[in-house]
Amino acid sequence: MSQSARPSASTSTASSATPNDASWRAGLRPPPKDLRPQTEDVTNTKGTEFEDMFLRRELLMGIFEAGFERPSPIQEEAIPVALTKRDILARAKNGTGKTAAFVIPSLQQIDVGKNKIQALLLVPTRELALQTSQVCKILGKHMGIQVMVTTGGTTLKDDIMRLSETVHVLVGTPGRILDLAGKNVADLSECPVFVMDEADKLLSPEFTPVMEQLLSFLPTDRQVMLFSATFPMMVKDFKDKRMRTPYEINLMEELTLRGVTQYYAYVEERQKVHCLNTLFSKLQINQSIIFCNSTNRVELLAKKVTDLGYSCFYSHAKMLQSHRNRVFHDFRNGVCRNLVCSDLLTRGIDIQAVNVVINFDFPKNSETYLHRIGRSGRFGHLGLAINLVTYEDRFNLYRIEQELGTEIQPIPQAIDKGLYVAPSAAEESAPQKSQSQPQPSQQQRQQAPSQQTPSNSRQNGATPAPSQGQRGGYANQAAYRNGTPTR
Amino acid sequence: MALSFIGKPISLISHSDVRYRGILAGIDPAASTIQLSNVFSMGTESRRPPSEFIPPVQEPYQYIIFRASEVKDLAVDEPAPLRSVHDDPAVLGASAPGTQPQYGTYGPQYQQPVVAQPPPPQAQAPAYPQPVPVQDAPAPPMISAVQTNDVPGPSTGPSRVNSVHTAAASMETVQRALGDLRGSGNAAPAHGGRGGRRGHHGHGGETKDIKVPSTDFDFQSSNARFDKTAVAPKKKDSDNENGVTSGRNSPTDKKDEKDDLAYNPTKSFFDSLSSSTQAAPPPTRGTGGRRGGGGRNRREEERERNVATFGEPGGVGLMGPGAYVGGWGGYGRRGGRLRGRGAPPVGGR
Repeated sequence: MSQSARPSASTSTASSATPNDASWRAGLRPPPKDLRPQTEDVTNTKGTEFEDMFLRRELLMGIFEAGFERPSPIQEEAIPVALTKRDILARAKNGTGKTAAFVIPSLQQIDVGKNKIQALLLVPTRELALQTSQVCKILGKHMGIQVMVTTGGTTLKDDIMRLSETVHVLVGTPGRILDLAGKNVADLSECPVFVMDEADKLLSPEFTPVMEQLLSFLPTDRQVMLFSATFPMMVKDFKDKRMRTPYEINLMEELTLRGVTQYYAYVEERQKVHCLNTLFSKLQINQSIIFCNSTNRVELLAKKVTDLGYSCFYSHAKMLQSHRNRVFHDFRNGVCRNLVCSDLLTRGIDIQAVNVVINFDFPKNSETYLHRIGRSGRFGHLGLAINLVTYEDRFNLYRIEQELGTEIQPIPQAIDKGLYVAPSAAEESAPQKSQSQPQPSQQQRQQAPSQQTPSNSRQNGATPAPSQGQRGGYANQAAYRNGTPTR
Repeated sequence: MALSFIGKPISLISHSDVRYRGILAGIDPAASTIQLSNVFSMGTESRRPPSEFIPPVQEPYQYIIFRASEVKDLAVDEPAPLRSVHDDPAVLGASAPGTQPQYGTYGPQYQQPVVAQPPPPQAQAPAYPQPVPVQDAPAPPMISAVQTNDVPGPSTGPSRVNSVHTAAASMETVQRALGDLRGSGNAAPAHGGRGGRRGHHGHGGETKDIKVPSTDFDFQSSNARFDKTAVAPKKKDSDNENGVTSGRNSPTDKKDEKDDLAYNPTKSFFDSLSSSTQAAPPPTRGTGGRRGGGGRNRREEERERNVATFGEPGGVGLMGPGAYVGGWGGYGRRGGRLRGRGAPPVGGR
């Protein structure tokens, strides 16, 4: 998470904990700085430095090499407490650095010489598991930590084989991990750290029994940490039963992000595609995520969007995992500008280049809404959330506004670019038409070995195309982008 | 939703297979009744075997109130002539275009594997131009041949077999049937409910072309048609009337809302936001997707909505439209298991 400007080879501010500051940091190659403006959602800190946290040198190296400069508010609050091994219940807004807030203390507590799983990080979706494990790998790069990610939708056999080797940090979705633990393949008996990201989702009725069972595989003396932006009362049960006087961190004065401007456009169902087309032509989208309320609608819309001449990927739960992964990976790397998806990717997904979220179908509840629009405006940056609202949605619109204490304004005829376009990109013209790739922000860069251009080799690869004609996938879709959108 | 059909000509078929034609005068969800005015009883037409034939009644009733539970099917009579005699290659020429209704398109070719043959219009139609009934619902042998509904006035004979839940379901059927015909397809009321919908409109299976106009979508005038605050409960202190548009400008409002807020960090760490999990009536399985009972209805609703949005219902996999119910999207693999969250999160409302 690219953070506020500060010379990375800092001179004076380093604390006594890092005496030879310059020497060990000299060799690090952080990504280029992200100079986009940020809101106080992430800048309002006390001024703690990572160096003040008594972290291991190797971990600090990973942190700085990832481009982190100083802790975000949630990191500043959570890391020191987590390092005391106390249970934590932490609430912070979407995209304000929660992941690193639990990954850093988790990694810090790992004894690399010990061939045991020492941290279990649970997330509700497979894509999020991949993303989180990636963060672990990046931050733990200099520590020699072995991170394993495991989710449903992959072969169990591979997981079993992998677990015969050393694994220090296990990241994954609950079902698969329970499976592995139940088979005695994953040994959690000496795992002192148990983290639930998007904890409320993991404690929804369907998951709760799984979580309880998983906990039973851990030693009784363990640290339980829950992170999310939303914590319904439901979680209180778990807290009371399974956590020992947890330290509560709540950094949310309000629910919505300061940097995200929300609009609605009133449409009839049949006008939605037209409306979206107009949005595409008018907005300066760096990358967008477009949400539909069902898998079918995801496919139908993806097809339409492609027909209209815009590039898009799509992803939903009914797709093969390999396809989902590919889409996620490539979208993250900026191969494509638009992603149509279901609520599969509503939570946790961190793609900094996304500056516009469109609810093609308005969500039915506040929680979903909040998490969806939190896909833009990552790490305090600016973003736009546009909701297509039908007459049927009016009650939901009202309720969501009320519950979130926010206001969704009617979309103006012209949207001020200053609200969602980074200054540097503002001069760059032409929404969506240019051949240029979307600009993945620096933070994404390390995850991507290299910027890939769509090539023919993947033509028949991952993405199942929206339908008949488009079967080719990427190359086709990219080609569409070259032309002016059909209008 | 269905209210927009008030004043429209309606064809209604009761469970006794009698068709009524009249003007929709009202729907009372509380009492679960439908009221038509200026109603002609068309009799059973060809829906019943000759032995059970009920002839049409020549004189219109001023109004009839129908018990929704006894309504098998209903549709808006729209004299949109899709089919004319000229479609018949045998016809060389014709005079006086009889307004032939369009319902041919609802035909049996789409997902209803039922006996959906358009009954031959019977000649005894009185005043109205005779439309063919929307479709023949699969007419299961009726338990009773007692004709109940054709009495003038609040008729509705004693209902029998069908009890409360059917009443609700039928009411829903009614509402939805009306909703469907609205065309824009966004009218389907989304309660779960089971059972419903016997005479199912082929609507969901149709495809039509959604044209994207070359002009820009006019956000301004479209938004002008929508009053976001209309659904807000009336504030006692009529703030909203005084040109306060946003609904949260005045200090009083603000205070009110503070209490309404689903999240108040000064009071509790926890929130009471509406959520996908809690919205599920009984947390049977899977937050996201297949939520118990209403599944089938919801899918139908969605298909209809999809047609409205995209011009096609979607979800038609390799096995054709009928396979929809069994297999969403037609991808071979759906590892249902406990990861419901990704599944189509069509929330219950």
